[in-house]
Amino acid sequence: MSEPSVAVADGETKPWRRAAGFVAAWSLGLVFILFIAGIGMRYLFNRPVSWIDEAVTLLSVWSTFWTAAFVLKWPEHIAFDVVFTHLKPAAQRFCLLAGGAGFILLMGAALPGMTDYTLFLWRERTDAMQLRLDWVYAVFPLFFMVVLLRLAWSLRLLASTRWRNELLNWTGSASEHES
Amino acid sequence: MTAGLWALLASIVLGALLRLPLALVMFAGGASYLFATKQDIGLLVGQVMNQMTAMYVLVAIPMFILAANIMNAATISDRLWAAANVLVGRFKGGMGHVTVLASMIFSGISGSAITDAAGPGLVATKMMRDTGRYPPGLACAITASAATIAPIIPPSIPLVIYALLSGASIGALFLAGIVPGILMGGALMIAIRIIAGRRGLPVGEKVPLREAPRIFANSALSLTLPVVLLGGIFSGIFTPTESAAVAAFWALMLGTIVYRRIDLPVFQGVLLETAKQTSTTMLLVASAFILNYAIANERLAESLVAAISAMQLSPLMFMVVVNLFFLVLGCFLDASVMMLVFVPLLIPSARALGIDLTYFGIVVTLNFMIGLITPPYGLLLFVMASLTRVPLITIIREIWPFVLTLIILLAVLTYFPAITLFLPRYFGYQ
Repeated sequence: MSEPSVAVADGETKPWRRAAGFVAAWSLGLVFILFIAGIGMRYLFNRPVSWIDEAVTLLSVWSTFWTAAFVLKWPEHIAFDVVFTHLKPAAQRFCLLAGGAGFILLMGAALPGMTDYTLFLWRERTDAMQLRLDWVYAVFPLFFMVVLLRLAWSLRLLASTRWRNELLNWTGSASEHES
Repeated sequence: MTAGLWALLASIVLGALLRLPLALVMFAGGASYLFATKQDIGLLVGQVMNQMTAMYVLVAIPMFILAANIMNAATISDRLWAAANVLVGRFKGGMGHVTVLASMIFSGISGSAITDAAGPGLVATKMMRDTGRYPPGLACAITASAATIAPIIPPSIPLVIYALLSGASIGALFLAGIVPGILMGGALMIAIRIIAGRRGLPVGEKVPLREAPRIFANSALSLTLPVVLLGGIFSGIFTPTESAAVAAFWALMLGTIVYRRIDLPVFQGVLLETAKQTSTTMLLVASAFILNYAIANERLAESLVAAISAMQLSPLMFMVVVNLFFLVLGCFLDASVMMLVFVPLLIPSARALGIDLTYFGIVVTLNFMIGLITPPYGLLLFVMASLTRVPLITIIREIWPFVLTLIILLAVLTYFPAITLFLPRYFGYQ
């Protein structure tokens, strides 16, 4: 299986990726700051802030899906590549085309139902901050929309004559090529 | 097996073999299951988001990762190495012992084996190779096996996830990991001593005693971090989640004010790296929630309980079977997948047999850690090969004595639950 993060060289070259990385980094920074502020208010000033626990939990969840959708490159995800790495490039291309197309078909079919479910939650609110639940949960279908779009773009390149270049984006050998 | 389960299994196996990210494959498996059983596909959102947004304790994961990454950026690894060198460097195979001891100390800060390997592990491998007397493969094998201690000695990300799955107390699990973690360090040092004798590894640098106070003073402040973190949890002042954030804050203060190694751009880099590591871990946890829904819906765990009670296994035999199962599976599967997919299936059986879930958690986590260094698929072996450019096959050749050592320790811990449970019981956890 491939190793996330450590084994992959960073190459935040594209402006949109840098911006997404900035948001990912500082959303986590905000979790950290809120956490410390909450602990300080509770233990130093004896004035617990009730909404902070909920805020850090929701922010962590949003940060997880945001980072996975916009920041993580394909090789940075944990994947089972024991078989894949031993295949020839043409077979690897076939695997990605088949797997990617299947995933897009399946999750593309699931997306309308997932969106419906999310929109239906508009009447419900979170306990502490009273945020609309459809807004809070929206990150999940949004995550899938972005993943499906990125995957479709990658498959388009894999189906073209530039497929060898695109294959490098999956094997982790070239961080600069990311689609 | 029902059509739903076939659909789920086929999607996961096929998607994984075709090299799609595992978290996406598990989501796809959940969607296939819902389609095949004609359930509302919206349940995918409900099951995942209801649980993700309700689990405050999950926030401990990014905070533990952040604390360890800050300390790595603040060059704590070099200071820990120097302190450990004073203590055990003078023995035969000294640098190997120092590697293990530095890893054990870092384990009190880090909850992830990968972070340990990438931090003090990398420093250790470089030091050993610089002597020219440690074969590169052996240096990497020592480092990789020492890194497996990180998730056993608290804090520990796998134990936080296990606590979520099993309902066991995080405090009890963290306490229960201390003795097995120290024993792992001791066992690995014995293995290194035997290898050092056979292969003529050098005696390490003998640091003059008059140098020791200066070196300890240099690393003393970094050593306060495990005290803040673990002291906060076990004294009951902070929850484990809060302790993780306080430890990250303490590490940041040390890195910025005392060591002056962390400025704003470095901190932003640390945050980004933490966000990425958190995202890969939490995405897998999220995908496991829909899988666990399918498992519950199909009453798989109940069927397993019935099958195991029909076999009339004793608790010890059950644990032996669990160990063999995970040791074999660990050769091929990622630890997070084993934890998220198979552990929820086994917990009801363990509970039915009267097995203490804290003990069960430590034993299965040690299994997963052995899996991290077991070929052909051992994540830590890949990480070390990638970080050091040492060919994977040369690391694999050297890893076997350490795998065997940890398996022997696993057998001892399985047979004597009291070794694991002594400390939590002493502190009042039942």
